[in-house]
Amino acid sequence: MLIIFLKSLRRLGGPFFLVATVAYGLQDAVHTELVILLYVYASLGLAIYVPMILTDQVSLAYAAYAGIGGYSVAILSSRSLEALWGVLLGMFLAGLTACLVALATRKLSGYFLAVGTLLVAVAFGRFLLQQPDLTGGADGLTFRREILNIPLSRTALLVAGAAMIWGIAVLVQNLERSDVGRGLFLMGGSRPAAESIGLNTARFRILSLVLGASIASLAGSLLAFSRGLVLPDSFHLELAFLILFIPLLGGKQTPWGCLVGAAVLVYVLEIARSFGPGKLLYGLGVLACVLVIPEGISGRLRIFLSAIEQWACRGSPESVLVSSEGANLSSGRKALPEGDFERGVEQRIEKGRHHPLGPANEIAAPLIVRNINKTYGGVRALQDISFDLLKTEILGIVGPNGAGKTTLIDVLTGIQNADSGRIVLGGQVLEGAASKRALAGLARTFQHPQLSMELTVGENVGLGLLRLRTPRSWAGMTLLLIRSMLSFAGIRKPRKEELAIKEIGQRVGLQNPEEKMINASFGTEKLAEIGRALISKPSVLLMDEPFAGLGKTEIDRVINAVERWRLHALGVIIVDHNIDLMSKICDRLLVLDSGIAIACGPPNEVLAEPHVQKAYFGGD
Amino acid sequence: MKKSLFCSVVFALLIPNCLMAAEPIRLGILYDASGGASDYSRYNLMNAGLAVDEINAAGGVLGRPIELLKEDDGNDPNVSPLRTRTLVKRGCVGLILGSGSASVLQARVVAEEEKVPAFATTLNDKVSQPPNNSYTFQTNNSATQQLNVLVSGIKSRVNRIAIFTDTSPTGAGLAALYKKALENAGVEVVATEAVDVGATDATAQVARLRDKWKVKAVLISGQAPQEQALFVRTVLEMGWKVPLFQDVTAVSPSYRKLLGPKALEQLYYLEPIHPDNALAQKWIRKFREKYPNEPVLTTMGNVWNAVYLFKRAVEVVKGTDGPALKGAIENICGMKSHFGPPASTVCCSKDNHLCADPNGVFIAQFKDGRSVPAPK
Amino acid sequence: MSELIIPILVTGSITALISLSFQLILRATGGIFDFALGQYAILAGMGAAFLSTHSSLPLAPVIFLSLLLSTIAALASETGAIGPLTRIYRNAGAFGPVLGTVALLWFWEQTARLLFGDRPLIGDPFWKEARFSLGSVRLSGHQLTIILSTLLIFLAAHVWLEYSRSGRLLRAVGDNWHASEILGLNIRKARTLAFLAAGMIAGLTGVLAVPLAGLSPLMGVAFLTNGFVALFLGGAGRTSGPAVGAFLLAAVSILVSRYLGVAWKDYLVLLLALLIFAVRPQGIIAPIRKRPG
Repeated sequence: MLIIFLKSLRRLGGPFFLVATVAYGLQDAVHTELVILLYVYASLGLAIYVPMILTDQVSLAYAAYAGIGGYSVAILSSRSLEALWGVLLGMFLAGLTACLVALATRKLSGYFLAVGTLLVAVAFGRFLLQQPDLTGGADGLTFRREILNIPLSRTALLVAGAAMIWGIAVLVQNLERSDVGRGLFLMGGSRPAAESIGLNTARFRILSLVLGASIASLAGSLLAFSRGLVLPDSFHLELAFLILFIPLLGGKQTPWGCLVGAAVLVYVLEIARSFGPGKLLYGLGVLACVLVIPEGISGRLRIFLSAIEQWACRGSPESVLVSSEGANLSSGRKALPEGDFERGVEQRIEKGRHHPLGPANEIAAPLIVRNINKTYGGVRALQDISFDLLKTEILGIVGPNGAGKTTLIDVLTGIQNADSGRIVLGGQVLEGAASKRALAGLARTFQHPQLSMELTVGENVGLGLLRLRTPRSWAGMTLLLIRSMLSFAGIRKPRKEELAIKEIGQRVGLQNPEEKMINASFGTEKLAEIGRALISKPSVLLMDEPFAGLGKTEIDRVINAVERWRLHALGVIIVDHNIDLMSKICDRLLVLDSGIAIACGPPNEVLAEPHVQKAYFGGD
Repeated sequence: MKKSLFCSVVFALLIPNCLMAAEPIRLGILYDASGGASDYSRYNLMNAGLAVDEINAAGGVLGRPIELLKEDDGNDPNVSPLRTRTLVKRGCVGLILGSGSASVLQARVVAEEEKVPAFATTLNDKVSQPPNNSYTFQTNNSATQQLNVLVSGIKSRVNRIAIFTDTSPTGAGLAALYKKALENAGVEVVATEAVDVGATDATAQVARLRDKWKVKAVLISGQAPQEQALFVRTVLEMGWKVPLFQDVTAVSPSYRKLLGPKALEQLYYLEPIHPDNALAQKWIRKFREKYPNEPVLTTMGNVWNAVYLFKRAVEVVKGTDGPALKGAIENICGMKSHFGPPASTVCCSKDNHLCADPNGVFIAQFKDGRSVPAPK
Repeated sequence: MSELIIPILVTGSITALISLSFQLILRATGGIFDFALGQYAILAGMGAAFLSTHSSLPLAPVIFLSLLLSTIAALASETGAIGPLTRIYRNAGAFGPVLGTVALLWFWEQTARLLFGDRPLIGDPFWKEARFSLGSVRLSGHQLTIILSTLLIFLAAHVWLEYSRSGRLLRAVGDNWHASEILGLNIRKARTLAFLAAGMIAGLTGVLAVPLAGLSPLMGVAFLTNGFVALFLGGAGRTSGPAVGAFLLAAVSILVSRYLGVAWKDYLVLLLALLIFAVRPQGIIAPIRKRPG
């Protein structure tokens, strides 16, 4: 019973709290006023939640976006036009403004976005004062509070506000739980990792800012409706700072936390008037959250509830069945049905092509690299590098420190652009952003695994499937976001995907896909990354120092994983220091020294060459 | 009934104790303790308190004391409606809106919804105008009223003038407003000179006005006192004995500190307090008694008017019903005013919620350490 | 037109000093912008104004105490917030540090409000009685003080960074943060020095600026945006970058305000900033040179 209660509290805590606020607000006019203010803050918090929590961007323009929403409603209403058009117009204008700022700062670190949005807020405030014919200037605009010619009562506004919060929270929650949402979380933790599964991070960041701005505009419209009056001071810069911290106080784990955070804010501001430095304490609280409790108050609450749940569950026989949202799992292992991959491989092996290096003209090179040059500030990091990668081949790239291996990986994957040269994968020229190359079939793993710690091992592997469905166009991405917000399907994964994850897990050697990533060993992390890279059946897998930091058993696991995969029409490039290991598992080695490829061929031949030995061990 | 009968019998002997026993009539004041409007807003609070004390010492209203309740909105218009509603919830049947003008504009919406009469002490023009004004009464002279007095004061003395302002949007806007009004009144505006906000030197502007435009009078305006003070000090330094006209900024004690006493003597400014207005002199005396270390802000007379308007309305209605009070206030005309020349009165009507006497401010000069009406 | 020269120089000087402080911290922390810098300036400036009106202390102790206030604030921020942030988050431009410095901005703004109130405080100009003229250009003693101080501080900063050991340490750390870690350079010391210097420079900026039009706690944002934009207009790569950017920005702002109105100044600064960010964020004049990592 306790378990069920706790589970439902975790799942329904948010909506329950919302209903409680409605009840609180219905008591009298003061309470209604307070709760409507709470809803405005909460919806602004939700607006910030999308870009801030999902994609780690700090924007200070939210008061301005709210102002756009409020003023659009006021301007249209005061000219006897329907207020609802104002709501839509506000959302459009706010989104457009957010888009422009985001485009301008897309390649820069978070500070530039923060300052850019700050300037927007200042300019907007100035605009409101400077165009009194349009905006009423310092005295603002008054208008009649009606929608579709029906006057709005305070109670109606209260209920409408609550409904709005519910709607937005549910939409954002759906997004969060969807694959795209998880991809966005990954993006927040590591942009290269997200790019490697095909997410165009630059565009998604922009889209998330636009989404947030539209929601903020809705909040501003609510405020305008509740007052019947908009003033420049209603949307001042201080508001932008106050609301910035709402999702943080409320917690990163769930958008419903914004309601909690807004409640804290309103409570602090109410108490503060008799207490004094409420806003100061608020600032301290925020610093504490950033430094000490990153998961925020509602996050802590959830952890607390989980702990209670664990404790309550420990003796129960059903405990094995209880697991994180998502997969059902019965204990015990079962032989899994063969997948399509297996069938194809069997066929190929039967044709007798199981030696990885068949005659060159029968197995086409999936990756052709020609004349790559890269110079940094006077240093030629890569000089005229050329090589081919054959299908089912494992090519090792080795060389002493500073040889240019990392640069080569960056150039291949698209993190940096080569000064000159060409890379062709499967007949297609590889250029542009890393995500584009990922979509073309280039997968990779990282030296330090870049995974989502909040998910399980299996869920991390499943993220790789995004590569197969991420759209490339702006329109496609926008539609994907909208669809994700509207679908409740994120909670249960489709059966087919479940199977794919299990298969890959088995092949790669992951014993327990249900394990939380945060508890997994380093070796498991590396395997999970490999799984993520392979689940979408890429053409080339690029591994960056896969053996670094691993013990012997784990190295064996990785080697087995790679060996099992080489048969499946995949080319593998491994970059590592460990010559012994590399000479054992690689079919060919490419040796770099000071940016030049000094040798390429089977390991035993290459390592016998005198200039290779000189590069590694110094003069004779 | 019995209680009030008892009270009126022992009225002369036991006034304060009597009033303690009666149910108070609550008057709420919305003010700003620490925000951008707190400069003058706290004086609103102080003077409202003094007025209430005076009324209570004289027996209260209908034998009941007035209790002044206060709420601080920090000049934040997002918070003003909440505070105003709180005042109503705490039982206030009358409101004084003494915070910044943006807050007052928000708060008056609540007054209308809750049907509680409110008195606005700001000079913002829109406060007493529709929409949302049906329960709000403005007791201070509006900006337009003050402009009119200043313009006619200038017109009666010179026929050409220059304007000095700053380059901020408010400053530029004010200058444009003045220019239009002056020209409509038949005064030629020869030039407008401006300094940037934060400027530390105005010599060039003064020199041009004196030597190039050769004006015989200058109207000083701007968004903040600093630049205006700079101009006046520069004129004094350069030894130019030209009459300088200014609005009610000139009565602010902090502005006067920036100028120094010598500079004040060249000013012709709008002043609400007349030496012959007995009510005005009385409240100033009371203020000085209670707050000897605070400077007197002479624009505060309107707060006293507000409190007395409220008292009069309650007496007329013999109760505290909101709509009845509103109706009563709209019929009050001819009540003596706590500011302006001796004949100034407070007059409200159904169509005019701007209750201040249009001649409540007048042109004054600074002589012998105080403001006196300037000779025509 | 000629009467705009001095306002441009004065406004440019103030912005240049703040911009320089930004640059110092940027270098010492490997990419963090302390958004609260403007607030250190305000603390010192309002402190100076407060002390000179409410106490009978002479000028030198007033300045000393004000600078002490801003420097303490800067060092407290470093110890309590920015230092930990650099340890928790590897990437200086990550969400955590950005949000952390915004929180710092808010915190110090509220502290200033608590200490000094909301209303602007105005200070006494330096060298009040002096008047100078150079041809048709006239300036007051205070304006000259501002311009000269800025020149001196930039000179001192340049000498310190180029020739002194601690200055070179700071530059080394700034040029290649990760290499410095590997080489075992005393990053902690570099950071503390940078914050000390930045706190003092920002404080001095506030003290110099407060007699101009007064300072209130809400004006920190203007310091921040101007300092930031100036830094990238002029280029964060060289010590002279902030100065060049600041004077350019001041010239543009003041010319636009005078001829088109103050509103256009705000719109223009926004457009200019977005343009710089989109097109050449390394800086227009003295770009930051990227080294292979």
